[in-house]
Amino acid sequence: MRLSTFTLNAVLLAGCQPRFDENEGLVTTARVLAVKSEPAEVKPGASLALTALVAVPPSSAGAPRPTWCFCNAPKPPIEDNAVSSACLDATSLLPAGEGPSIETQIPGNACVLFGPNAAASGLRPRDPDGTGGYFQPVRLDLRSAVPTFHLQRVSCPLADASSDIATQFAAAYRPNQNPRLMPLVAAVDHQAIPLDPLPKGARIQLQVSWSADDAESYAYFERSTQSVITRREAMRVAWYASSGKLDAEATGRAENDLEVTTDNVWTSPDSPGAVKFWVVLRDSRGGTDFAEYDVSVLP
Amino acid sequence: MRTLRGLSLAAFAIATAFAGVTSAQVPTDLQPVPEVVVSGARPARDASELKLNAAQARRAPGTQGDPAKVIEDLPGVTRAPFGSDQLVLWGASPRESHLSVDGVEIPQLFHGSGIRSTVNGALLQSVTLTPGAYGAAFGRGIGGLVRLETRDLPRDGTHVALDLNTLDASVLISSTLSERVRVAVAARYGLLDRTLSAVSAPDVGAFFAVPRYRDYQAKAQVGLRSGESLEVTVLGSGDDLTRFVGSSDPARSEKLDTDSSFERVYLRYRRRFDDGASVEVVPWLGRDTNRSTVVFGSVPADLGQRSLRFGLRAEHRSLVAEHATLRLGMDFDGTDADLSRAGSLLIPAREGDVAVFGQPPGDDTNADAWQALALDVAPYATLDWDLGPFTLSPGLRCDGYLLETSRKTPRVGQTPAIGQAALDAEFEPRLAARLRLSARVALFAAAGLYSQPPAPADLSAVFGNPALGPESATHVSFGESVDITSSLSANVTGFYRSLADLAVRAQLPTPKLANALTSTGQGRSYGAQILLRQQPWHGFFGWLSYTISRSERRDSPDASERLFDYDEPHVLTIVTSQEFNDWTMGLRFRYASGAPRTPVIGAFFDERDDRYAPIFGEQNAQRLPSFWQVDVRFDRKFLLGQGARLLMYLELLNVTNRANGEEYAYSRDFTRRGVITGLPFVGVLGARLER
Repeated sequence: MRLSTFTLNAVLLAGCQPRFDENEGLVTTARVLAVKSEPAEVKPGASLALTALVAVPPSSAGAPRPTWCFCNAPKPPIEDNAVSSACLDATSLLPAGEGPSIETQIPGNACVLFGPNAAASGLRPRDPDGTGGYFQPVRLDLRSAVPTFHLQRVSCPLADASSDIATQFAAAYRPNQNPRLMPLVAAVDHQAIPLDPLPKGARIQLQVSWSADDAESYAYFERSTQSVITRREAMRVAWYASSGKLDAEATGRAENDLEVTTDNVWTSPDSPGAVKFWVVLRDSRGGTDFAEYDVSVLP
Repeated sequence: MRTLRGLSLAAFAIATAFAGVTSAQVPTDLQPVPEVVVSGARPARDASELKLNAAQARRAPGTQGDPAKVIEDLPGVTRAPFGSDQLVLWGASPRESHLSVDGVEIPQLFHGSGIRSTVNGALLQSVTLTPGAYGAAFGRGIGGLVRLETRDLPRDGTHVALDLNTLDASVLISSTLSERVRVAVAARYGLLDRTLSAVSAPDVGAFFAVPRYRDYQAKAQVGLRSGESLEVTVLGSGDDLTRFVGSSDPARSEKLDTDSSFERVYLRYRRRFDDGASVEVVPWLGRDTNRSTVVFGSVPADLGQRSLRFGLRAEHRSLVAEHATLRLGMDFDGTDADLSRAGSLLIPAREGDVAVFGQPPGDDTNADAWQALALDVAPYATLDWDLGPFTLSPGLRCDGYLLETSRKTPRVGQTPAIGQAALDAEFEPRLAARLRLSARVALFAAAGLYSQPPAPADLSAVFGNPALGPESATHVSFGESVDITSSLSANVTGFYRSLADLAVRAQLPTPKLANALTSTGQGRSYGAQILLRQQPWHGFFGWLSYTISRSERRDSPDASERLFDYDEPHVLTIVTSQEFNDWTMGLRFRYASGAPRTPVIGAFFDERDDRYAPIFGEQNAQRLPSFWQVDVRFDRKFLLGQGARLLMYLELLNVTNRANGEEYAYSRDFTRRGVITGLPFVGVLGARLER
């Protein structure tokens, strides 16, 4: 067993990569940036509310309405993406609603199709993600935008652990809760300034925070040792703006980092005008919160 | 499992006993004849075999003085991407080909980056390439053969060879201890990390994973009785690679940390009898270690393997009739491996995986730890029969595989493991024939059945399949060789390989338990190769090799055929070298078609992971740009007196500074595509001091 040659080559070649001058945090057309589910983690068959953050830059007319579908195609292990390529095919989709927010019910077979419960004995249980989670894919379509997939965390039992471990896990595991995003704060040269209005052509430090409880501790079944351990969520913030330039598209804290703030720098445009900010906070188990800010850049 | 291991050791004991019987035939007269010359009927040489003298290969441009690297320039060999050690022979995956030194299997021919071979070139006598359709003496591989032979050590005095260049430093010391005993030791240490840090930013390692490598060899040669010799050889090699790219975004930090090594110790006993018979016995022992950690964001993937390797090759060759030589042999090989793996099913990548450069692996995770034992006892026989202009070499090899794994189902809690064991016997007839039409022209053909056991890493109940059986292949080759002059020859070979029972990923959305891999893969490759070769003549040598081929794979009998990931339809190499007194100038030109890639035809936004994901079109339906490169070598000899000689050399690689596309890269939303380019114009300067 040797190192994946693909990976090794990828690393060796990394010095000669083309530059695409990407500004991923720049939103120039309407698109879905995030989906928040309430509650953040549900059992199969349970009701939940899904709300999409549809970003529309100031120059665009009205927000388009997303359509929602559940995908019922499990992802073959040979596929690298988070959802099966069959979810791009209408035959694998079940309509769930329309509009920026819907109330729906998670399909009752979610743990069979996307979790560890095998449809028949002798089948390989599906592998969880790095936090032990299983996810029901939900597709959102927005006019003239690429499809978006929300992955809804589903509470499924441990299928590949002994009964005492499964009992211990069930007693210790707390379903995920959405984090709460604190208001965005701005500063120039480390001096706090109001978020609106903002000076033009300036490097503005932005900071968001969350409470210490938002980075939840959770029970995790470690397969290499066949034991239940406690881990802590990593927190990640995705930043978007309708103009200007963000230093980083995303920042955050790894699971061993106890800080509850994260910073970015936004270089405001040289011309005045209305600007929108969108900030999305995600925990590593799929919990989400987001906020949208309308600001103006001074002449 | 314990019982089965006992059986395995018994098999090993039987094989050793066989060796004992063979060596018991040796008479006890004491005559110092250090060389072993085999006589008898001339074998119908493997149709596609190509053997190069190491001293000549070392001076070929593009090899940086490393004779084993000349393999890359021979027909039937696909061009490996820059920074890769992949050796693809006649459309065979790198793992399908068999690499050996003096008949002892080694896991890697090149250090991980493909910069250097793992055996010091100064210790080599020859490099032999057989891309397929080889005889019964070798097996356990459904691809080709690369054989390195170490050289006889100098018969008098003490000799030193020092080599220092921008890639590495090496030393070889050999000495004659007595009339019968000669020894040599060699070592090499990679300097590329230091060279780069001296000419680049100190944190170059954060952007470019600089390979670090080392290898060592030792050899003792003892002359015993008349026509009898004994050698002890030690080989060792190690590689490590580290790269860490930190990020304020925990999901985008990357880390790669790998190390791999192997060691081999073997005895080589050779004896020639007065009646022309001969015997060779090579018992060996070794260890392979591989460990790698790959982290993309918060999802780590760990691999670890420690294997005890052991084996024995024994061959008795005798003249059974005036024009017939019979070779009877035993080829035994064992691997006792401890493995662990955690992370995504898709790391490490396999042939046939569809992904784009830089795409993070799936975030599904699992873990497993298992043991695997693979034994192969393979008796073989070959008859080389001279019938005037016609030489026929029928052979038969029987590979008896014993495959054991510690778990046939995934681990659940502390429940005891239930192992899995399987015995498999593969009968593999081989046939080679050569017809001499005239003193200068000969026709040849060869065919055979081949098999190889599954890799221990594929026998995981979680990530693989403990019940995988051997993979199999059929090889056919035929051609014509023409000696145009006494030193200029042309050789045309056609080939066909069909493959079956290949271990491939299960294609089902929900595979069966312990069936993440299945033995349903099939494949074929076919083509033709031409070699026009000028042996040294008035200071000039060189060759032109061209291979046209097509390689296809199918992941299950009902799946559609697709191009093999390494398929390169056209590969052309021209190598020339000319001596002018103390100067030598060499030139190498290489052209190769681009390897297949799967086009990206769209993207979707993965909201949870906050990234776009590619939508793929037909698998391997497009190709990377074609590759061509010109390399030049200059060297100059200086005689320093007292038997000392200095060779200064300069290799200029990619002198036209062509930006060869080695891979496609995509913007994050997959709307734009760029090309990652390979080696720019670069020089390798070195000096070699010999005394």
